[in-house]
Parts: sequence; C-alpha cells; structure tokens
Amino acid sequence: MKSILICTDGSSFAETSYRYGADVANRLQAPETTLDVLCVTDIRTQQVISTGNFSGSIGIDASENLLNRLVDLEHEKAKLNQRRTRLILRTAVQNLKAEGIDTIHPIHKTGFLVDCLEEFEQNYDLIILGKRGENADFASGHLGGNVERIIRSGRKPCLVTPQEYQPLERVLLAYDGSPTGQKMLQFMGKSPLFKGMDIHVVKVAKSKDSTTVNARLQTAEKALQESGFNPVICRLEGEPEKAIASYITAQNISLLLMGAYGHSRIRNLVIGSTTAQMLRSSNIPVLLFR
Amino acid sequence: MKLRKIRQEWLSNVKADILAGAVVGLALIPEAIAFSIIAGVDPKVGLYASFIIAVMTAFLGGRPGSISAATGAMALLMIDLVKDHGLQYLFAATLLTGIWQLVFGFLKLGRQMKYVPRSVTIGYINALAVLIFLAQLPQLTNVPATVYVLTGLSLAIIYILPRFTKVIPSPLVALAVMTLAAIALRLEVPTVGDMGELPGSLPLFALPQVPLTLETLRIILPYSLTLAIVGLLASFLTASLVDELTDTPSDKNREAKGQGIANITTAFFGGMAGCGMIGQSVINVQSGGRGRLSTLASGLFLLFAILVLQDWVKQMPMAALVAVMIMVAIGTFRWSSFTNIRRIPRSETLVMLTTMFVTIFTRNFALGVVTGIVMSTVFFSRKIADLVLVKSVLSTDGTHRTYQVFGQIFFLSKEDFIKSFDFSEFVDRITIDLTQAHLWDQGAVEMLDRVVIKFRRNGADVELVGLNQASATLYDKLAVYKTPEITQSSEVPN
Repeated sequence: MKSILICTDGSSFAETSYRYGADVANRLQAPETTLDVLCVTDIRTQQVISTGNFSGSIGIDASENLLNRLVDLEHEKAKLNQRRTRLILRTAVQNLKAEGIDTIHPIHKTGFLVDCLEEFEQNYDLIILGKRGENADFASGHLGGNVERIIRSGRKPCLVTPQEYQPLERVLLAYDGSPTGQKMLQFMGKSPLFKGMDIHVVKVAKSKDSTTVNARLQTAEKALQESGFNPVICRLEGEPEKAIASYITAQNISLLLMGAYGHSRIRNLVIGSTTAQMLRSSNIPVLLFR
Repeated sequence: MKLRKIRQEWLSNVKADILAGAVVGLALIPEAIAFSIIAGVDPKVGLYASFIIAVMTAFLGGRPGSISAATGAMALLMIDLVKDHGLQYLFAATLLTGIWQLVFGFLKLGRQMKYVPRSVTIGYINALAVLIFLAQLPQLTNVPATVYVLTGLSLAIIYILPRFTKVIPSPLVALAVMTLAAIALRLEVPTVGDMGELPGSLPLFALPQVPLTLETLRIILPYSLTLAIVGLLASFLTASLVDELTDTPSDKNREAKGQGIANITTAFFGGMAGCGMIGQSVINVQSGGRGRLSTLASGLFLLFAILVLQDWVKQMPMAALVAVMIMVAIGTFRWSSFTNIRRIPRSETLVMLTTMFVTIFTRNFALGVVTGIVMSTVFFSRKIADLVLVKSVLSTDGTHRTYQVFGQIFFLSKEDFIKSFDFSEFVDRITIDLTQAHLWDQGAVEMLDRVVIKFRRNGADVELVGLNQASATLYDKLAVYKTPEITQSSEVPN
C-alpha cells in the first residue's frame, strides 16, 4: 500500500480522519508512502445563486445586466469557497505534519466528490473518509450522503472513520469465506499495517449448521497463523449486525474489517445492507474491502 | 449516472425553482393573451399552448430552466394563415411544425447553430423586440385617452415598484391594480374579455378539423416550415442565453425534439405553435429558476391561475397588458448593440442592422437570419482575403527574386494577389515560396497559374516551393501550367 487519499470537507469527522490517516501511514512505515488530501468543493453550492429578485420585471439590457450580476455573485461565492478550501487543506496538512508525515499533497477540485473520486481512486491504494460530513449535525443516525455513494461505487479499500479517535490496537475481521474475505486475509498477511495488533476473526452463522462455518474459520486461522499472527477466532450466532456490534463492545475492538458488499447483489441495491448498517451503528473505524 | 443527472436537473433547486416558476407562470398569462391577439385567435388558444408547451418542454426540452410557451415570434408568422384559412388550419400547421422540428432534431440540426454569427443573433433579438412593440400599437390607436393613462400608470408601477420591493412581481401588481381600478371606476376601456374566449376548463383533446387533402398541405406547408425554423432558432437562442447565464451546457438536439413534441401535442389540445422565450427565460433565471421544475411549475401555475382567476382576467384592461408587453419588448431589445456602436466593428453593426430591418419589414425571421448569415460570410471572407502578404527579396547578383506568400489564397484573393508581383522586372529566376500560404480552391490555383504564366512569358524560370500537402494535391489536380520544379514543403532547402 503506497498511496493514501484522505477526503476532507473540514468537518469534525474529517479532523479525526487525518489522525487515522497519519496513523495508518506511520504504521506502513514505507518511505515511499504518500498521503494526499482531497477537498472537493461541491459544485451545487456554487451554481444556484439567488439574486433575490422576484419582481418579474426586466429593464434595459436585462440579460446582460443579469449575466453581470450572476457572474459577480458567483465570483464572490467561489472566492469564499476557495479561501475556505485552502484553509481546510492547510489545516489538514498541518495536522498531518504534526503526526510526523512529510509527503502530503493537497488537492482541490470542484464538482461532485463521487465523480471526482471515480477518476482519482485508481491512483490510490486506500481511500480514507469521515463517516459523515459538513451536514453531520442533523440526523446523526445516518451516513453522509457522499459516504453512502462512495462505498457503493468505489473499487478501492476504503477506511471510514468515526468522530472520535482511538488508537488502533485490536482489529476485528468479519469473515464470511467469500472471495472478498480471502482478499482481506491476504491483505492482512502482507500489509505491515496490522503488526502488533490483536487480531480477532468472527464469522456469523445464521443457521445451526456449523460444519462449514467451522471449516471456514479454520482456514482463516491457518492463513493468519502462517503470516505470523495469533488470532482469536470466534463463531457468533444471530443477526450479523447485532452480533458483530456486541462483539465489538465486549472486546473493545478499535478497527473493523469487512467486505463492502454481502453476498446478495439485490440486497445491495436497497439501502440497509449489513455494511451500511454496521457503518451507521459502529463508532470505530471500518475498513471496507471489495 | 443517468439517474443522477435526472435528479440534478429536477431536484437540485426545488424551492427556488417553484418560486421562480410561480413568478414566470403568472407573467406568462398576459403574454399568452397578447400573443393570441397578435395571431388573431382567442386568448384561450395562446393560454392552452403556453400551458402545454411549458409542461412538455419541462420534461423533454434540452435546456433545463429555459421557458417555452406561445411566443410573439411565432404569432407574427401565423397572422395571414389565421386570417385567410381560420383556426383549424393553424392547428394543422402547428402539428406539421412539430413534425418538422422533430425531424430537425433527429438530423442534429442543433449543431449547425454555430453558423449563426453573434451579430445576426443580436439583429434577430432586436427585431423580435421591435415587432413585439409594434404589435401593441393597434391597442393604442383610436382608443379613449383613459387607455394611455392606464398604460402609463402600469409602466410606472412595473418599473418603479422593484426599487422598493423585489418580493412581489411588479407586472402582476400593475395588472391587479389596473383591473381593480377599471372595475371600481367603471372605466370604458377595452378589456381582455372583449378579445375573445378564455379557457373555462382543462384543454381537451381534438383533432384539427381540416380536410386531409394535398390542398391543405399546400396551404400549411410553407407556414409550418417557417414556423419550425423560426421556432427552433428562437429556442436555440434562448437555450444559449440560459447556458451563458447559468454557466451550464444544454443539449440542442434534445431541445429541438422537445420543441417538436411539445408543438405536436399542443396542436391536439387547441393550442398554437410556440417556442423558447428569451424574455421569460431571463425572468426565470433572475428569479432563481435553474431546473426543469421551474419550467413545469410555470406551466402549472399559469393554468391554475387562469382557471381560478378567469372572471378577473376577463375584466383586465388591455392597456395594462400592453404595458407588460412594452416591458418585455424593452427587456428583450439589446440596447448595448447601439450604445456600444463605436466599439463594434462596422461590418458587424451593418449585419446586425440588416438582419433587424429585413426581419421587421418582411415580418419573417427566417429571411432576416439568412440575409444576415450571407452578409457575415461575405464580410468574413473579405477580411481573410485581406490577410494575404507577399514579401520579395532580390538576390545580391540581381538575377533571382524570391517571393514569399503568407495567408489564405482563395477566389477572393485575386486582384491583390496578382498585383503584389512585379512582372516588369527582368530576372532570370523567380521562386515563389508558399510555405506560409494555403491554396483553398480552383480560384487560387488559377491565380497562381496566371502568375506563373506571366513570369514565364517575361522570360523567367519559375519555381514553386513549400506548398503544403493539401494545397499541393489541389495544385497537381487543377494546374494547367505545372512547372516541373514544383517541390513540397518537406523538401524546401532552407
């Protein structure tokens, strides 16, 4: 994992994501690890500007005057946005520098975060973003609108960070035996990210039929042991979201790894997949894989 | 992706769109009535058309946030048709107009808008404004003096009220005040009710009642073709204007198809042909409208208001309506094309004025625009032809002269091009270096030929160098007196 992208909007969630980003980068310890910070000014905030004129009356050279007025208004607004973004990016860079990261590239774009990410993500190995953004104060049970779409459309591993920072010590792998699960195991084996962390692996069994579950857990255990970990293996029963959530609280887990999608394609179309629910309810960072 | 675009076009600006739609919808009422009167039909024809076209283009148009409805540009073209053949033929012509526009949309005619130069566009817009204004004059001649008073007062309200508050639409206030005044003071002035029938219900489906014969086609075909072209032109202009104002792109071909379907639909519901409205679109953007919702809202508000308020609308004095239309004319006219007349190149002003006056005198926008385009093309090619430069150098021993040609050589370059060579000079060798030149057509080759022949007759050996590939191909194909020494630019020795 060489390059990391942090998406920021200057919210309190974003500030925590800097710390996690720095944490991850420090753990990777590779000198060539680069950390980029992306701030996307939402194009919608810029476009619809009201002149506050409902008079419905047009005077001499109406369209030219209106054009000039709109250009002035949008210019002002864009200037403010730019200044704000520069400030956000500067804060981000300062925060990251304070954590000991040296190579940081701030990036500023205008448009929609989701669209920008589509073109950006191929250059990065890990995307980090806060669970929610600027408008986080209302409806605190929900995910940010951008987060929801990014984790659905993205192709790269994605670390979704909560509002509060806590050091990464115990990591939980929600394992389901799927190809994504295998990828996660491989990743854990290869990446220096998890060195020195306690590893937990859980598999939620919906039915009583335990042979396949146990077999899968055993393969996971074996794979991790080969990579030099000493994982705690646990088999849970019940609703996946609830079971995993209670395990996290009980074991004081500080990082959750899971696949971004479950098995069912159709279920993913409907908001309320396991992933989305986990993201919503948990207050620890979640590393999503595809 | 597609869903996201739809959501963006419809729901990115809901509150402001609905508000702007209301302002525009109410402003459409007087315009629709006025344009119906221009065309010589009942106000309900224009009102139904405005409702249907606005609603249809909201869904199908290519430019979110632009307003289409019954318009003056179209109404002016219908006058004779309605006078000579009646309303049903207008519906049939409207139907055919829509079909033409749909066809033009599929032929991707929107792309060809780039051939309309800016000066022609401005001439067109100015002509539109003048014609809207002129169309109001019948309402102001041979009428009691009270009409002038009411018109003047309405104009005063329209222009002065926004200085105090921009929250309520001032044209609407003017209409309301004048209507109430006319009722309260029992003024004897012409009212909208005198002009014909207003809609009493939602528009009903009906086929145009015309005989399905070639004779009918012969009558409506020329009208529908002009209507289709003028309608598209106005719609494209409106779209470009909204593009410019909102700094967002539009889909011109989709706009053409949308206009087509809107006109086809309106023909079946008793409406007249319409198109994009420059003035109303400006009002829409000014009021904060950006999305498709604003266009839809304007149509719905229009119909709702007319059905609820029709008893009042009937008693609305024409004088107040005239004032609103004068405002639209003034707002549409590009005054800056006259106030900046010194800064604009004279040829462009000439094109603008020609387009404008041809349109005004013939009342045919298509003719005006074609005249303008032809003139611009001529002026442009003349300017390009002027950009030809010929430099010459005589070798030190005085036996060899090199001419270097710069610029575009084509049929217009003739006189100046030949004049720049000195045929009276006696030298042994002539080199014509065409590295910086391009030969465009037969005319260019013929001219070069003549130059070569003339030099040869005077006893010089002529060599052409530096022809670029395209020019060389053309020259090879067409030149009569090819010189064997002809070399191509890649082989030019320094």
